[in-house]
Amino acid sequence: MKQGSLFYRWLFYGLAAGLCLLVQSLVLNRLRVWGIHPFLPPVLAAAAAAQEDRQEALCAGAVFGLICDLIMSPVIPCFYILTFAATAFLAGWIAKHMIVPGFFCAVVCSLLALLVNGLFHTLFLTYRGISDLPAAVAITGGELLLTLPLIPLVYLLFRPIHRRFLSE
Amino acid sequence: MKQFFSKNGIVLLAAVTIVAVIMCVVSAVSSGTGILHNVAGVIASPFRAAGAAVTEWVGDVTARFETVEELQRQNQALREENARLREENRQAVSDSEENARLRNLLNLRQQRRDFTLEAAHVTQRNSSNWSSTMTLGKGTSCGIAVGNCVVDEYGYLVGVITEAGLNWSTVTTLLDTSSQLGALVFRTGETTVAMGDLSLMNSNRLKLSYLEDESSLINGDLIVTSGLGGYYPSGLVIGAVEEILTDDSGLTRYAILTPKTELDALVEVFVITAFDVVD
Repeated sequence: MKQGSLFYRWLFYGLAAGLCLLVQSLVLNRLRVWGIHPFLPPVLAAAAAAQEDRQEALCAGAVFGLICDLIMSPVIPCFYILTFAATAFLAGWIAKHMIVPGFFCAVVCSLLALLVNGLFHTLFLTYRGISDLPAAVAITGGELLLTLPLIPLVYLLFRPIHRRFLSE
Repeated sequence: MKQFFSKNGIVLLAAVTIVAVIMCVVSAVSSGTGILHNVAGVIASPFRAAGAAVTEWVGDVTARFETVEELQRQNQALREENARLREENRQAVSDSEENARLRNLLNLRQQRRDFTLEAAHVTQRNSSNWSSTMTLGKGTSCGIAVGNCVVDEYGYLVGVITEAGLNWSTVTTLLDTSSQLGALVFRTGETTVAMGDLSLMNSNRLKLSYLEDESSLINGDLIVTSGLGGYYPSGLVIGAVEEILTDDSGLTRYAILTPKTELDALVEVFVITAFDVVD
């Protein structure tokens, strides 16, 4: 694969992710149901990883995590690097060994990414001595339910980028 | 014909002159309109009317073009004026809001003369459902440091600075699970601890823990910072008691607080960079 193609592909993914982060910041943060709003970033990492090369997706997940760590205040430094790298790794593994890459695979990987995000948050809060499993489950469940309708939109945004560079 | 005029021209001119003089004299002495004058007027009337109509039409057309051009000019001027007024109105609304905030702040400054306050705009709110933080547009270059308390214009506590960069800082709000503040029940003077709680954070509430057994806390009690230890200023309003509950073990009681500040509506906050410690 050409270096230029690789660069432009991930550049387009980056721009699409930037657009989604803007929507998250301007719109989704205000759409609160039971005090919880949809949370797109893990879905972005998973949806890209589910249709691209595993190693590339792992690196992209880590870079995206770094950006999220810089623009959002994580519970610990590098939280999103860890979470999104793990998410990308899992999504890549599922796409290669379990489910054929496509819409269904993207939905499964995105839901898994939200679960991993919730699990990591719960683990770090427990480590800090804040153990409230029912509240953690409620937040994770709320995020899953509210973000689920947005997964097809992210898939529709990322799919043309994958197809555009598939032949090169 | 030429010969006729050359021979009789003088006579004719004299005759016309005489007729004209007679008509003038008759016209001057008579009170009404002379016959000749009347006849001439009747004959000329349609031509005058036609001329007047043409003149009026030309005048109308010219005036219409002039009016359209004038209207276009006026319309353009009004559009510009409208845009300018809208901009001024927007600015006035913004200024008015800022003015209200500063008036409230002035009251706070008068009440708490020991505070050194630094105004800062909220530039970003955290997108996570797991924490409650916001980023401010000022940092260490303006004297802001980690541990500084942040209040709104009424002096209600917003949170504490937990990260400070050169031109930015992060406020961890009262609601965040990592927040713990020494608190005082304003009515009774009882000391407790106000802390963020994961299950209450997303409903904009926090917890008041370590209530004494004989606590006489009631709904609506005002909770303020205790200032014990000198780490935070005393007397900053945290919130009001909404509900008093007993924990699952049935041994200890806690209260649920509603913060006085409206965290979702904050645009500008004030960082307390220095204060007098009251023993």
